[in-house]
Amino acid sequence: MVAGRSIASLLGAREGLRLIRRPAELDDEVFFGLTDSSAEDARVVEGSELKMFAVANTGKSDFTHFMDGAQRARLAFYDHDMPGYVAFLNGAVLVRADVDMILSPQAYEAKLGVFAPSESTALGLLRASNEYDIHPVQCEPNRGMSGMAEDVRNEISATRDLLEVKLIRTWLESDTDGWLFVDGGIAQVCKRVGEFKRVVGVVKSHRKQYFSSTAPSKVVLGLDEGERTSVFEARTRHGDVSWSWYLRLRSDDGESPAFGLIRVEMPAAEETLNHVDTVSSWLMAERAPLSLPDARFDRLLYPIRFVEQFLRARHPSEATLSAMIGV
Amino acid sequence: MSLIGHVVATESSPNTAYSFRFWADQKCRIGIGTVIRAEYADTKVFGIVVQAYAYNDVPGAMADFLGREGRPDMTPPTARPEVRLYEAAVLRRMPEEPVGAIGIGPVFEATEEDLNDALGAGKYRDRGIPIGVYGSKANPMAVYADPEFLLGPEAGHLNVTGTSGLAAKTSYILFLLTSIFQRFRGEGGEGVATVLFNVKGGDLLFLDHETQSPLDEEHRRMYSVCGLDPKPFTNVHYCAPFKDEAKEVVDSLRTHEDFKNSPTSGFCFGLSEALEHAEVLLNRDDLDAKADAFLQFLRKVAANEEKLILEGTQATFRTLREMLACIQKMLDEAKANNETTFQSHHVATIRKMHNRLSGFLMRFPGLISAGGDPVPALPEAFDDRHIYVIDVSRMASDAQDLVFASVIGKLREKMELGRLGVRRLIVAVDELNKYAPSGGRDTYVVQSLRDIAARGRYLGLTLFGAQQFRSKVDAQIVGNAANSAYGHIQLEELTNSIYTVYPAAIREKLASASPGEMMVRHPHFSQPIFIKFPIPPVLKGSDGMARWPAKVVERIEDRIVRLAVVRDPELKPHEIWAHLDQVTTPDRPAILHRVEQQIGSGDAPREVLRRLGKLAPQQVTGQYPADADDPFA
Repeated sequence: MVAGRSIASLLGAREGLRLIRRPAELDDEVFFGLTDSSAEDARVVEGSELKMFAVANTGKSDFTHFMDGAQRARLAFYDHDMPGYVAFLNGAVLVRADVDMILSPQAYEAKLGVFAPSESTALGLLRASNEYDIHPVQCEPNRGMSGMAEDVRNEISATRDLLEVKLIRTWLESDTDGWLFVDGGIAQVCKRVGEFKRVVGVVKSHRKQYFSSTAPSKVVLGLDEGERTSVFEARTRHGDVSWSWYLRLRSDDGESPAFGLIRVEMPAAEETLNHVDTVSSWLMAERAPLSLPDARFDRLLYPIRFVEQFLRARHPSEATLSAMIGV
Repeated sequence: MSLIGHVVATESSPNTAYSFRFWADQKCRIGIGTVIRAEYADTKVFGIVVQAYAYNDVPGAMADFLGREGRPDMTPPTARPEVRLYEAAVLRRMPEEPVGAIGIGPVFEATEEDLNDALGAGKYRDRGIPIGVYGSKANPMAVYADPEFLLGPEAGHLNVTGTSGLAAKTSYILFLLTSIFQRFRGEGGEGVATVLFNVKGGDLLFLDHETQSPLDEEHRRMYSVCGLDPKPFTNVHYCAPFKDEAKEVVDSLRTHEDFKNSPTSGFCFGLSEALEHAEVLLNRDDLDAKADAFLQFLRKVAANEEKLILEGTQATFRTLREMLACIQKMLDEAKANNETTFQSHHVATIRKMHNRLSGFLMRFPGLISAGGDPVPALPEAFDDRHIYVIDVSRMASDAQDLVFASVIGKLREKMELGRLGVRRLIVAVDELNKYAPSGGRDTYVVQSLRDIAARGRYLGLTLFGAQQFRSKVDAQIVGNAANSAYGHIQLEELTNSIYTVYPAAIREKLASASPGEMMVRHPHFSQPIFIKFPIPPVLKGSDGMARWPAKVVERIEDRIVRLAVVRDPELKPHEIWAHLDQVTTPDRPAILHRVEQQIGSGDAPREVLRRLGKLAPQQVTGQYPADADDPFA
C-alpha cells in the first residue's frame, strides 16, 4: 500500500529536518551510537567554544607517507560451542613520491594466527604443534556462542591495532621527513601529551559523540563542505588523548549527517594548532581522485584506499585459507 | 636478459596452452609484435604480444570526472596506478612436450638467442636467408627464413599483401632478392636467378645502380646485422617489347643513351604465341565455341598438324599477316563457291575472327610481329645470380596480359623439362589481383600460376607474388604460398574473413603499418612476426627516371600521322591509319620511311596516302613497275 502523501509533504520545511535522498552504506545505525547522555562535552582547545572554520582549498597536499592495516578472518572451527578463527593481519606504510605511490612499502608487517577462546582444547592442541601462531582469547563466562565469537573478532581487531601501532611508532622513531597519514585514530600512539609529531589520523566512523549538548552538536552536524570545527581534546576509553577536529569533505546535502564527515586527530600538543588549517586543506585536496567504487568514498581518501588495496592483494585467498584449515 | 613483467592468470581469464597474459612495467618498450620469454618450473615459453591493455583503478568515467571536479587540468595529489597488461600467443616452448597450459612466472625481454629459439632458427640459422630485422632501431636482430621452406623443396613461394604505395611490396621483394642472392648456397647450375615484371614506371629499371643518397645509419645497421652488403645487383638484363614492326626501338622507359653498353633488349611474339594466347587478347564474347574451334583450326594449320587447301593447293602461314591473308582467301573462296562454310567453319565465324585477329596489328604493333620472326624475351637457360627484368610498363593492360601469359607459360614448360638452368628460379609477379583473381575465369594464366604454386617448389620455380587485396586472389595460389608478408592493409580489406584468424590488435597494427614494416609468416614460425626491412640498395625508379629520362621515340606511324595532320588539318588520324594499315608487305618499315620523307618534304599528304592505298595491293603482287614518287618503289 502506498500512502497518499509523502513524508516530506506532511512535515514540510522544518528546522533541523533532513530528508535522506540516499541511505549511507556504512554507519547510520552506529552514528554517534556510543553517546552517553550524561557525559560532558569534550574540551575545546582552540578557543573557548566549538566553532566552524572555513578551510582553504589549495589543491595541494604535503602528506608523504600513508599507513593502514587490514585483516582477513575466517571461521575455521567450533570446539563444542567455542569458535576458532584463522586470521591474516597486515599493515604497511607506503610512500608517495611526487604523485606516484611507491609500490615497495617503507614498512610492512603481517601476521597469520589462530584465534579462539582460551578454554578451547583445540587451541591447546594447535599450540602444542608449534605450527601456528596461537591467540587465546579471554571470554567472559556465559557469553554464549555469539558473544564468544564477538570477543574473538574483537581480539583479532585489537591485534591488528597493535600491529598498526607498531608501524606508526617505528615511523615516528625513525625521524623520517614528511608527514604520516594514518587511517584511524592516533591517540594510542601519541601517549606523551605535549610532544608534537608530523602524524595525522583520520577517523571515518563516528560511533562516539564528543558533543551531546545542543550548540556544539549543531556545529558538528551543520558543517558544510570545506568547513571544520574548532580543535578539541579527544579521549579514548583507555584514556589516551589526542587533539581532534571534525572536517566535512563533501557536502551532505540530501545525504546522511555522516556523509563526508571525518574526524582528524593529531598529537595533543600546542604545535598542532599551528597546522590545523594546513592539514585540513591537505585533506580537502586528497579528495581527488575519488575512492569509488568503495562505498565509503565520501570519507575514504584515495591514498588510504590505495594502501588497503595493497594490503588486500597480499591476503591469502579463500582457497589458501581452506587448505590451511584442511577443508 | 631483462626482467620486464610477470605472467598473470585468473579463474576468469586463465592461461591456455597457446596464449597467456602478463603485466609489465609501464616503462618497458612492449607493443604488438614484441617477442618475450616467460619462465616457470623448468619450462621456457616464447610468446609474441598480440594484444595490449591499460587501465587504472577508476571504476568508471563518471568517477574520474567527479574526482577531477570536471577540470581536465586538475592534477590530484595521488596518481592512480596504471596497469599495462598484455596478451601473448605462444611461439614455442622448451621443452616442447607436454603442451600444457602456460604456468605463472617472470617475463623477460627476448634476447637474440631467445628470438632464434622462438622462431626455431637453430636448425637452419647458418644457411638461413635474412628476411628482415626484429627489435628496436638501436638493437635490431636478424630474422631468418629457412631457404628450403622459402625456395623449396620443402615448402616455398612468398605472397606479399599491402596497399599500393604504402606497403613497399616491391621494396620488400627487392630486399629479399638481395638477401637471397647473397646468402643462398649454390653456384652455377645450383644457383638462383630471378625474373621480374616491371609493370609501372621505372620501379625495376635501375636495379644495377646505387641509391641516390647513401643509406642512413639505421638502414646500414639493418644490413649489417643481416650480414648483407647493401650493394646493387650486378647482373641485370632488361628487355621490353619492340615499339613497332621495325624492331629498332623498344617500348620502355629505360632508353637513355647512357645505357648503350647495356641496352634494354627488345622482344616480340610471333604467330604461334599470338594464337596460343589468343584467349588472353580476345574478349569473352568473341570466344564462343565456334570461334574457339576456328582458332584451334588455325593453330593446327600453323603447326602443320592440319591441312588448309586454298584454290586447290595446300596453303601454310608463318606470320600473322600471312595468316590473315589466308583467312581472307577462305572467305573469298567460300563466297566464290556460294558456300556458307569453309572446311566446316561458318563464314560468319571466319569473318569475325579475321576481324578480331587483324585487330592485333593495330593493338599490339611491335609486340606481335606481323610479318617477321619472333624475338624471345628470355634466354633458353638462366644464369646464376642474374635478374631478368621484363618491362611491360608502357604497354596496355591486354598487352601486359599477353606478355605475362606467354612468359609464365614458357617458364612452366622449362620447369617441366628441367631446363631452368639454375637450381632455383624466382618469378616475381605484382598485381596478382589482376592476373589470378579469385572467382574469375579459369584462364591459362591462372592455371599456370596455380601449377607453379602447387608444384613449382619441387621443380625449382618459386613464385613471389604481390597484390593489394589478398582476399581477391585465387585461393589455391595464395594457399600454396608457405610464406606470407603483410604490409599496410586497408581497413576494408581487413574486414575480410581471411584476416579474422588474427586478433583485432594485429589487424589494427596492419592498418597503420608504415613502409618498411611487415608481418611475416614462415613455416617455422608458429605465429606471425613483425619485422622491419631496410630500403633496397638500388636506385629508386623515380630517381632513375629523373637521372636518365626516357628518350622520346615516336613510332614511325605516329610521326606520319602527326606530320600529315599538320600539313592537312582536314585529314583525320583514323583515315591516315587506314591507309597505313594497307601496307602489309615485309618492307613496310622502308615504305613508311619514304612516306614520312615525302610528306616531310612538302608533298600533299592526301596524295601520298592515296598513292599508297592505290598501289599497295598491286605492289604486293608485283604487277607494276617502280615509280620514283611511289613510296613502294
